[in-house]
Amino acid sequence: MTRSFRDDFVELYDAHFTRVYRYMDRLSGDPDLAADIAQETFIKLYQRGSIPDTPGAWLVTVAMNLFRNAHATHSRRRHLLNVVPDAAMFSDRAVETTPSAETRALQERVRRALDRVPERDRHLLLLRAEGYSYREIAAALQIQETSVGTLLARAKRAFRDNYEARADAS
Amino acid sequence: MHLNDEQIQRYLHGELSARERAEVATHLESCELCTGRVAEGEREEREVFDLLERLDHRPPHRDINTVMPTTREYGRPARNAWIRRAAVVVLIVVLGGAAYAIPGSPVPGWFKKLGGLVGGDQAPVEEANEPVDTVDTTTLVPSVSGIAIPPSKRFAIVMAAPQDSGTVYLTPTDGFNVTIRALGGAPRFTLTSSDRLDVDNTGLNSSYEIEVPVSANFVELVVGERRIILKDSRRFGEDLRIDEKGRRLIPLTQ
Ligand SMILES: [Zn+2]
Repeated sequence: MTRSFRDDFVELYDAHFTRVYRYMDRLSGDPDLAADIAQETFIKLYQRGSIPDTPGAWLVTVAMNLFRNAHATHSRRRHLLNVVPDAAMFSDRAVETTPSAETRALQERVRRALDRVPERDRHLLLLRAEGYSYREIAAALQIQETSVGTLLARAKRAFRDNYEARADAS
Repeated sequence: MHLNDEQIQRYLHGELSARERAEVATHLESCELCTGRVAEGEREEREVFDLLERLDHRPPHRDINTVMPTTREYGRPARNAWIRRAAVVVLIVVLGGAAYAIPGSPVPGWFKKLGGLVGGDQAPVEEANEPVDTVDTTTLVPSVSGIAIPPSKRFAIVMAAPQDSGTVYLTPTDGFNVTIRALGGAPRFTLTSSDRLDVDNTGLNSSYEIEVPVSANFVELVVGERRIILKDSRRFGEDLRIDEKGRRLIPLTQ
């Protein structure tokens, strides 16, 4: 039995859509942008018409490029989202409980700690958090696969240091 | 020699070969320092990943039909009330715009007739506040031979099937509507969502004039299994043949 492109596509969509979305959501802080990018990424895969050799890395690379393109136009919006709690912005999110001031402060602190991690290390961290393999991460970020672990250790340390530094400051 | 960061991370993530893994395990049996570093690495990762989870928003509704278009399913689901309202507004504009799409059509009479379908003399503004779920979109737009619609961010014109003959003549417009006119025949147009216009061309071999605003973000034509991008953020009708009138030509045959 031969599997069709459609079968493979459906399988990849189920396995990767939420990962791509979460990666983009954490990176951008903008869930609507993240959802658009995740959707657009899979539209591009469908338009491609064949499954790439390393699908995980391919999807991440496409999403990263879409994010870079969208970033400039959305930066203002993200700024607004950081200030205004999501629940006030969109009616379907209004059903989510409004986060407490404490929760929001913690989110803000995590956000800042992450934003201060150098860009490549930030991607590294978020991709590993989604369970991407070293091979996929190396391909997506165009780094040596043999140094992924070392860079990852450094990225986690940088994030933690930023996070702790914020605690001292406040 | 003690373990380095690379080995510790790979050990934690199952990224070592069987041989490497055995070597690391042997070292850990006899080295308290490295055993402590592995435990610390594991704890640190859990802490970092737990913190990252704090940034998460609820994932969107997942619907493969929003990324895998077929002639039956296309378009992103209305994610929030704003989009749902926009869909209704689009419907109103369609009804008003349908008449304008036909050159020399009896516009006032038509508009009145069409207006009756959405509730007589009710103002469109009030209509826009109705939840879309109560509007049967499939019956609102009658069979006419032309239609004008302001395209959504990602808009598709979906023709049910390829034809034995017939051509789409594509031209850019400075206006804000996607306009479609059937040249002969009476295909049925149905706006099934704010993102999708269905053209039931079953059994017909009409040609069509399609105008797409230069300001449109993304407009495509789907004919059976074939997708033709009419306009995206950078290009207009790329790779399409152009006739002597400057129109881009899309054959509707298989
Ligand atoms: Zn040791």
